Amino acid sequence: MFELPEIMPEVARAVAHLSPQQRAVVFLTYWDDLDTSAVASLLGVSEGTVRKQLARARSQLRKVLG
Amino acid sequence: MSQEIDDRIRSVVRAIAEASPEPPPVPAGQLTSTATNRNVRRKGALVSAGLAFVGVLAVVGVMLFLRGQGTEVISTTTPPAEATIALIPVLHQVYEYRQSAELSTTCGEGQAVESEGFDTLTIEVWADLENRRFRQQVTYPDGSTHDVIALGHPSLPSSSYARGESKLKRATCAGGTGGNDPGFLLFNPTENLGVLLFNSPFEEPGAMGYAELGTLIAGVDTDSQGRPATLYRETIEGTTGNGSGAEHAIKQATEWYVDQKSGDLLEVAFNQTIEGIAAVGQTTTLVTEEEVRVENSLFDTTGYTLVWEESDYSEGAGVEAEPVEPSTALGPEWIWPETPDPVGPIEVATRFAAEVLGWTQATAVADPEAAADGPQVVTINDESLGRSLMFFVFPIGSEGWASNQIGNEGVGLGVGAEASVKAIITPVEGAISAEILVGTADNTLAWRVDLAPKTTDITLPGVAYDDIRTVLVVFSDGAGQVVSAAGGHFYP
Repeated sequence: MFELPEIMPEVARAVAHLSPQQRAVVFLTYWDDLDTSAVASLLGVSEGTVRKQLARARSQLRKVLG
Repeated sequence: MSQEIDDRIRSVVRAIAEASPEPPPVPAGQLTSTATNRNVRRKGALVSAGLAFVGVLAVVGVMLFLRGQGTEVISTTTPPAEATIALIPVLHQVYEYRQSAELSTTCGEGQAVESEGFDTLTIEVWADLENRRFRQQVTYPDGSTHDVIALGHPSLPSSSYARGESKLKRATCAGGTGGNDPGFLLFNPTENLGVLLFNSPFEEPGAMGYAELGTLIAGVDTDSQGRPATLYRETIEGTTGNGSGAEHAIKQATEWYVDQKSGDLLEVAFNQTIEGIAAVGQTTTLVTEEEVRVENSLFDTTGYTLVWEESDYSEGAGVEAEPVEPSTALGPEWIWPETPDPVGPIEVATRFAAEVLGWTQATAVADPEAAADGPQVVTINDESLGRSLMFFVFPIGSEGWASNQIGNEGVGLGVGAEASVKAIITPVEGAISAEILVGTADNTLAWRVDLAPKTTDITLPGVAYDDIRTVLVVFSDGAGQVVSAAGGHFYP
């Protein structure tokens, strides 16, 4: 059973500040649990792009998640 | 630390997404593996909630997904007419929409391409708030129209219907931009799904607007129509990559013009510049808003095409499997065999056919265009049974050969209630039972399940989602004969 945290405003804001493609990559990766190749295929980009976008998104979210 | 941050992001994403309204589900098979056999983990019906949230936060994103995945079905049903109501009160809004796009001649990796169509259009919306029916009509400069009727929710409808075609000019880059697509290239407000409705009275958790994202800009008193307005702006700057190492500066601004008294949205503008790729912009202005009375037939979908409808997954879609002793062992880094076969791709495929499928008369044929010493698709055929199966084989160093993709259809993984793990399958004709094998880091687990014709989700008790590395589902018919198999490798 997952313990769902309350959505902190700063977290929601950080997610919202991701670029559209970063948000898409984050949600497809962490919500849909798609792997890199599946995300790349769905978004029509290369796997390298997915990895970059995910890395940047993680970096930004790490700042507010601590 | 990396795993910890991943877990925290995953929890946050789930919390945000699960706070979103019930979205239209993704039709079965949209995100499951295909014959090309990508490994896909998904959360069954909950996948749609993720997509919906992406849509709530970034319409651009959801349009991308849904446009690419939607299946058009000719409508055969029409909501029953309510003959006793002659006129009904609706909220009527009129919007003006305009866009511009300047794509560079190189346009990233391709060349700029503009479709036929228009850069300006008028959008009318009629919202029957009580009965949750919404109609959007786009009128183009040539007088043609494009209608959408959405039921249930303006942006997350339970079903939607369309008539006419979008004539919005689209700009794109031939050959793609390698991940640098400007948002403008993706978002089409005239798409079949969703209805444009500023100041929607319906709850849209997670949807953030000027109050959450914008910064008040002093010195602006009116919108483009000269109406008293307050401006909020959100500016984002950064870089975007194209997968080949090149990066481009990106700057985008969203501007909200808000009624100074009510706080309602009057106008939204989005501008984005990607250096060397494009400068694009789009503005949507709410011109008028009033309550009017219309005939009920305004929402009649006769003559429309059904473009979205919630599916019924209740009939045997989900079942729970019983643990059994595994009939074969899987590897953690590849599906089968547990230890790479030292002989060759044909041999390992033939062994799989005989030992796992029981297709003792099967032959294996390699892709003639594949390099003999490289990864290759081997087709297993058993003419005596009239069966065939795709078997992707790859070399594992000098150890031998193994497969990490099996089947003409793929298999996915999902997480259901209370973190229960689900194998997501594509129903196989003639199959009434299945053995599900899971390879973890150090052993193989197995379950057996009876299948209904529409079974797509198989709950696998006793295994943790994050422990799964490989999955193999073996489908059998009433005589116990294997009719097919599907397997994939899932990265930790």
